Amino acid sequence: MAWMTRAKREHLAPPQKSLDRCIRCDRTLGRPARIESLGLQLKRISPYRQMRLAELAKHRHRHDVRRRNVKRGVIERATTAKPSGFYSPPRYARKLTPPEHFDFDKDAEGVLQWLNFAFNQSTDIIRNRRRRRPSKRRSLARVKGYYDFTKIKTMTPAAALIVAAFFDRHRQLAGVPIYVYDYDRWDPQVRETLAQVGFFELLGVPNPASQPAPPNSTKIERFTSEGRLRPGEVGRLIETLLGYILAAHPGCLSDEQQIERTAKLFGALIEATENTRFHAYPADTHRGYGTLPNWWLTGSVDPTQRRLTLIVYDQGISVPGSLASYRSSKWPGHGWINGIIRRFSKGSFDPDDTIADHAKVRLAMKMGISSTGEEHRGKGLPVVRQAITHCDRARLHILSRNGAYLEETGKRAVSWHLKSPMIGTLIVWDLWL
Amino acid sequence: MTSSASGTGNADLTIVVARDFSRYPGGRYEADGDFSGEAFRNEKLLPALRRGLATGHVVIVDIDGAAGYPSSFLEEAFGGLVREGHFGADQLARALRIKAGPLFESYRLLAEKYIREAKPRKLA
Repeated sequence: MAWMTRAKREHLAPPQKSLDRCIRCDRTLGRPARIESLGLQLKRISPYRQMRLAELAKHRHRHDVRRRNVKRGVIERATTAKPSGFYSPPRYARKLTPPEHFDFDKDAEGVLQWLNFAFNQSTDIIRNRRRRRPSKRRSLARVKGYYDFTKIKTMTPAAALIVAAFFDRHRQLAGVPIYVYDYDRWDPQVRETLAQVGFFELLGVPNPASQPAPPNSTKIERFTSEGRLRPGEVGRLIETLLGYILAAHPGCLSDEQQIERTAKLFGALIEATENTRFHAYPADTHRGYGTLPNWWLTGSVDPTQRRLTLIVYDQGISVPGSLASYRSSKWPGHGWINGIIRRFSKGSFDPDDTIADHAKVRLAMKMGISSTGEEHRGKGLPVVRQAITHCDRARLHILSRNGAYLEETGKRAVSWHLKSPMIGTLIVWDLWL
Repeated sequence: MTSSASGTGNADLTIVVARDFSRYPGGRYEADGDFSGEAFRNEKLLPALRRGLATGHVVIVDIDGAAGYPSSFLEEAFGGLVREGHFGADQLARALRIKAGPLFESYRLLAEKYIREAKPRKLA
């Protein structure tokens, strides 16, 4: 461009950029604003100059928004933990506050809202990083937003796995981890839960020094994530967790009970991870962003309550999503039920409406629906349910898209609609041994 | 993998799943992960059954000692013998015996049910 005369440069068409509106406040920006203010002098400005002025106006507007947000407290100073183990100097960043209780029993809606927001934001970053040329600069200078974990008071192992899976996906697809901030100010219980689940290893930051755990505190196994089935790892996880229970309460399970419980749980976990492999990430699904076709698995033991928890999570199309009418679902009951509802609603019922998600999850758990339509398939989901039948007290909790399902021993299974969708499917087994 | 069936001559052919295959049997297909039902059928069951039929011996599959059996593993390993057209259900009733202790009895019944209910796949 240097060899061009100014006249030639000015007659070049301006770059095709959308600079008309601010993405945050929808204010008209750049060229139109400038044109209005310049009035009659407009004719003398070349397209090249117009573009330059528009960029300057946009830059000024961003600066104003940022100054306003600092004043309001939306943007605060936070300290980054770098992979090297050093803390960065505090810098301004947008604070995104998760719910106080990261617990699907206490505040499922809050957790899901945060997850959806964080997931969408991460997706934007992943998409933009793929479009952009790789930068030579390797620094953490541009911190636009961060998740303020200092406000979280409690976190369950299931929620910790969801958080770890979200960070894992971002790290693998974007190529860079999301950094954590101010983790010396986090609640110790939350930090310990995340540390045990393997969260800090994901980020490459050193595990914060913690007090030695009391002998009867909750033990959480580090999560495993894989695209293929790993029966060895699943089996060893169950045996390890049962080993913790037996160490805390010797003789609480006879050898026969131990074998029986291991077998039931092993079958359920393999079926759950296999469903992920077969149904959660179909090749024809275009979700507009990169997908990490994995499952995440962890387990925990609370020795005081003699409670064993196993958790499997995937970020796929969910159980109701895999039974959508446009898919090649050949389960006759699916069409039959949809047909009846459509008739009663005089054709206004949409079989793929998420309002029916909880009913679909419940049906899948009861009947063993197969989205492949093959007769010899679809036997797995009832097995997932049977894993809780051999205990005096046990619970199965499933969150899949907008459907929630809960079954406890001795009680009737219930399902309900979730306002905010779960990204993928979460299955939690709780067994009091 | 090592040879699955032990015993020669007049002794029955015996496959102990936990010893000869894996203590942690996996899912349905080989492509989806380790120690699948398909791998068990192709690598252990089929050679043993062919040998058993040739020599007139019963193949015994001992399912005790494993961590558990996913239903997809059992269906593919045992039901798959009929579905894939290797053997008929009647033929298997004579040539195959599934051995299980009281704790794994339910898995034995399930495997036998899958054999009974499997239908040979129609060729296109």
